[in-house]
Amino acid sequence: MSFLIIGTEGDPRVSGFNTALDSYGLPPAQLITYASLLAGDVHLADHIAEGDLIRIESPGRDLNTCRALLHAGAAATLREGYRAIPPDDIDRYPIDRGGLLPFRQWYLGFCHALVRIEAGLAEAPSHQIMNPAHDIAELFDKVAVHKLLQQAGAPVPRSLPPITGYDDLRQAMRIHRLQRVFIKPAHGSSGAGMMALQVAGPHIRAITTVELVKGPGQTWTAFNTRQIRTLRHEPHIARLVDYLSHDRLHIEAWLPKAGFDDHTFDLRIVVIGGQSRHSVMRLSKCPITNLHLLNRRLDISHLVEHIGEERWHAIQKTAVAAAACYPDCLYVGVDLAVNHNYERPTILEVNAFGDLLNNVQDSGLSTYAAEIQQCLMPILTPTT
Amino acid sequence: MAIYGHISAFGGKPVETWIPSKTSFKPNTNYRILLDYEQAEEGITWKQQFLDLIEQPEIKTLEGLVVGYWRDWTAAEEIESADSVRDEIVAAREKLPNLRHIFFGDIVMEESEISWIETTDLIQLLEAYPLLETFKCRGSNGLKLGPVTHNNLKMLVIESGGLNRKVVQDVIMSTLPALEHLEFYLGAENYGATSEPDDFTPLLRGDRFPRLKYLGLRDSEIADDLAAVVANSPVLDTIEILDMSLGTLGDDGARALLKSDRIKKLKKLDLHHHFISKEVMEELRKLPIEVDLSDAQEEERWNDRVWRFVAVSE
Repeated sequence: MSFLIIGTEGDPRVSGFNTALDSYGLPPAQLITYASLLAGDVHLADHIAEGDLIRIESPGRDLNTCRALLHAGAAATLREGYRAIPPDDIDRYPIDRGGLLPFRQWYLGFCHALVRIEAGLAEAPSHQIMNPAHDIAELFDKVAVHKLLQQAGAPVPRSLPPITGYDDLRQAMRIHRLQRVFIKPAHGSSGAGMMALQVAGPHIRAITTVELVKGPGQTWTAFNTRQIRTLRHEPHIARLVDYLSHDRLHIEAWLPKAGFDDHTFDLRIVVIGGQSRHSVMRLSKCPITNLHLLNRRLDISHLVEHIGEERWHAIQKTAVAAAACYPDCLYVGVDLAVNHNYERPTILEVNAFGDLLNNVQDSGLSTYAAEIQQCLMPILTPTT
Repeated sequence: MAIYGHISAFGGKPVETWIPSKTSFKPNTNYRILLDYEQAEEGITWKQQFLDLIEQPEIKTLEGLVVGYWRDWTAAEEIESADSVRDEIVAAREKLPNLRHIFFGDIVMEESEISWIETTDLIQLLEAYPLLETFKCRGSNGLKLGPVTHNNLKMLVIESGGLNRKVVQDVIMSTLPALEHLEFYLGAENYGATSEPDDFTPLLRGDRFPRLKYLGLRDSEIADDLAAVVANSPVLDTIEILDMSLGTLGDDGARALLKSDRIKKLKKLDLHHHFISKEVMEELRKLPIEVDLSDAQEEERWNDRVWRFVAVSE
């Protein structure tokens, strides 16, 4: 029995997992890279032995892997009509300089890789998989996750139907009676391509991580910004929303979050084996909280002390219920916000790769170590 | 900077949010009525919750009321306006004979930017509660607060991202013989601040509010100009604390204050969140009084111009 990771060479998620394996005296996992899978260089089944444990990791931020995924997703995205970089331009696109990814294209490329993984695993000897490929594919689609959670009765913000552009968005906000919305690329991550839009009477304000830069021939290229930008000029906001709406979007109500220590906060709870485990508070002065630069992480004990065990257990229960929508996943990272009196948790996101939490321990274990323990429990303690 | 958390204490007591059929009324607590997002989705209003509070058997003992967010989150048009909230509180005067502290607008950034808060003429509120000792309001669009006569008011605080000079002038021309604490957040011009140093002249003469102990000219973009007129004004002979914190005070204003003999007779000079140089800070530290110089700010250079920002504006 050994572990196999599908991931990217040099990625901190891979090294972190190997460190956890080492802590149990286990050898490092065998790594199969996305790049090699997409290039057709490896036959996955050949690398798997009876009883192996398979972990599908994030492709990470590696430039060549990213380009390979965009190539794999180009044709399908162009057919769908979403924003796509044509194959000939992919290598020139400034991904490494913060150019906003066409997330649908990236996603369809990722799905292509996941389908290959699934096909490879189908031919392999019997094995265990930590999180199955089809669940990961769904978890990378915020529209699908929202729909599933809503159907399961989990508390989620109200969502808007797809929009064609800014005018359509404002119309939808009026019809659905929303004054504050979050606009997220359906397949985005780490706060990229997001906008928090608020209107009230004559006022309008957008907070975003995107900047449009004019290129040759009156074309616009979108860049991720390190600093949060606030836009108050409606034509600028409209231009940006129009641009963003060429990608597949998930739009939902922007709920007011609770305050703590002169910040607002949300929570990341990693659910492993159906248990609420590693949890952190993310304090921010900005509605887009997943930008690592601008946020302060705080140990969950501060919150528990402030709100009491009872309310904390209610929050944990909500996270576990959301994770239970994906019963075949060993672990997911659930993001939640709570209202001003800490009594109503709302699920913001469920992340397939939401277990990268450095320096956060639960029962003395890192997230990875806890997942390994969960996998090996039937072997280590067969009676329970 | 903005305001991220609701207040937890007011009028000398802890504040709890009143939730009908959930909160139980406690005598040593002040209550906040606020309409949260989820309640709005369920069709609950600010008024319903307020009416529930004032039906509590011991409501006569209530000393402090905190008015939280009142607008319907789901309405394109404003259904519950500041007018109707004010009118409800005025109408409840006989049920609240001991009300001494009102905070009208405990609204945080997640609910509304301070500069977006639509408030109203609140004079009737002061007039309806003659025993009022503390009146605080946040947000100044549509605000009217004077001139008013009130014999018991000790503390008046107006928080704004940009305060219209008319409000300043009206407050200064009010008759408030018991007033001990007067605090303005003057804000930024971009968000509606229109005050000029001259507006404060009657106040600075020192005879408008004979019992004044604390004067807060805070969060001001014209802090240097204000300091110049405040520095040698007779009002400093009455008050104990001069608070010019949260604004854009720099060396010009600080030097003006340093030159004044009257400043040395204060108990405290609060200048935190400022743009004063290290050298001038050293001079200020030599004053024989308590001086708060914390939270020093850096000017920002942008488009060949130097910018200083107040702490609360948007």
